[in-house]
Amino acid sequence: MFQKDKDVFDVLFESVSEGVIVVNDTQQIVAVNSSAEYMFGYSKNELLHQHLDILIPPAYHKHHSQHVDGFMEQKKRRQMGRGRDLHGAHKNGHTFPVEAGLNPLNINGETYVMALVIDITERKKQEDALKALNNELEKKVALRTKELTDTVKDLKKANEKRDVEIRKRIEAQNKISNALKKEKELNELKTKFLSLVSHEFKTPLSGILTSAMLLGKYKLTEQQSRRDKHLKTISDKVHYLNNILNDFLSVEKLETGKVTYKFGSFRLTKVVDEVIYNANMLLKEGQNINYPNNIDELSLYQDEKIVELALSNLVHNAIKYSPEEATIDIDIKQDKTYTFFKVSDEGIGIPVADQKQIFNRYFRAENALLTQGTGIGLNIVKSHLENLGGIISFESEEHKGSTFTIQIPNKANT
Amino acid sequence: MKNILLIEDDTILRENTAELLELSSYNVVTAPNGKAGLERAKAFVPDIIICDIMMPELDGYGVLEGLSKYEDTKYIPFIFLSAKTERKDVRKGMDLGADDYITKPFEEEELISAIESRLAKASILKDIRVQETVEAVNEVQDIRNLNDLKNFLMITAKPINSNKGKPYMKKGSIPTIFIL
Repeated sequence: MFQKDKDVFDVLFESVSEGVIVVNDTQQIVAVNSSAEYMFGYSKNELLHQHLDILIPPAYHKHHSQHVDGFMEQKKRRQMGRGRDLHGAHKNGHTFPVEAGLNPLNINGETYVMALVIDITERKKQEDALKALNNELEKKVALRTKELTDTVKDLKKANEKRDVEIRKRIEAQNKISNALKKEKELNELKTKFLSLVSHEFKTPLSGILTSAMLLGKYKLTEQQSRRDKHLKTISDKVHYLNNILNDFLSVEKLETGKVTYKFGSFRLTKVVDEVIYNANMLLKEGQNINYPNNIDELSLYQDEKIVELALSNLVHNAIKYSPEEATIDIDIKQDKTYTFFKVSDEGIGIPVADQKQIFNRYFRAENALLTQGTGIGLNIVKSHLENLGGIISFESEEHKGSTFTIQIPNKANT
Repeated sequence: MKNILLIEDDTILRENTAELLELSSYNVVTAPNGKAGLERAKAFVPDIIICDIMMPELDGYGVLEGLSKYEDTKYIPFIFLSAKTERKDVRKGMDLGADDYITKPFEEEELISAIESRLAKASILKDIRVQETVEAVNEVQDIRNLNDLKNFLMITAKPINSNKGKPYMKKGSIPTIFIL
């Protein structure tokens, strides 16, 4: 039908909404439709026989020619300007974005190219607007993301800070609860200690008071020996109480590091004789102390009072915690550097469960609670010995007895 | 002369207190710890016991508890003499059944007066117990008499029963019933 009726073809050609431009192999325009006229602002007559460049902005002429040559060689139908923006040049000089499809034709042995051109100004505008909107959105998203990231960071920091704060609080809480626990323990210890001290003081005070009462009853000359006995009791008990007080004061001094030692040379026998003499007065019925005779030549350069205190503490404990008829052995040895005092008894011994705490201040073993004592003697001895480079140790079995050993340098490190 | 058992672990205080009591005309037996004290109480059964609380071997509370288990010792007046001076200690001692609680250090008059009043009270209580015992013994005796009577009746009733249905009863066979 188209071949028969050229008018029909023309109507169709004109009715296409895209601009149709046909060029020959030298890029001369040979046909255009109305849409193309309208699009580019030229009349058909102004375009026919013109080089295609009239419709292309001058800046693209050179590239366009190369593309046309390439297209002519391949002669394949294709979308024009793939990957780049195409522009048309309007008669009035402005350029506008286009989309074009190229169709190679062969009519009567001549090569033609039909270009279908669409003005995409509006679409481009929309695209640009969309792009701008997108960009804007992306910027906003980026901004929001950044804000969010910052907020997350801040939150994280705040969290970390809070965690640190919580940790600090927990630590503080633990410290407080520990302090409270310690305070409670100390309080209990204090109560226990006060009760012990009360007992420790009241019994000897009763001794003093009863002796004083008895002194008042013996008024006859022949009763002098009774009076002497009670005067001695009073004197002994006063010394005993004084020693307990000194022990308490030593604790305070040892704790605050205010102890000063008086070093000097002395014979061991002097100390041992003094300790044994005092201990003999405390012996229970049938108790007996074995002590070494081979120490006449031994001497020490130490604080004599402290050595005496340590040895007498061990001997007094041995007496106190041993039954009647028991034997207490004192053994003394000396090597080049150290002197060793060993005091063994056949007493109640220290229960295994209490052995770890036996040197703790105010501690009394469970089986010694009914025996007088303050629980500071061994603690003081240990502290003094440690200050003087010495060691105290023990072996003990409940119901069998204990052996305490003191090791002290022969020459104090002054 | 009243006998006192003094249980005290501190040698000096034990000797001094014993001396004070002897000068006040008491006979004093001493013990150096709770265990020995309990044994001596059972062996000598003193008129009164004076006992410390904190002592090795057996404490004063243990002594008091031990004494309460024996008939001979459970009524002996018991006085604690202790350095434990807190209210709760005194309460505990009295709750366990002690008759008095004296705290150290003590005055002679305080101790002597406590001993005398406890001894006096114990003496009254003893009289009451003796009276009660006499009455109880009498009661037992009465019951025995009653039993004798019952047994007699059972014996004398026998011939009556065995003579049941018999036309004659021998003269003089049941005289005791009439006497009663």
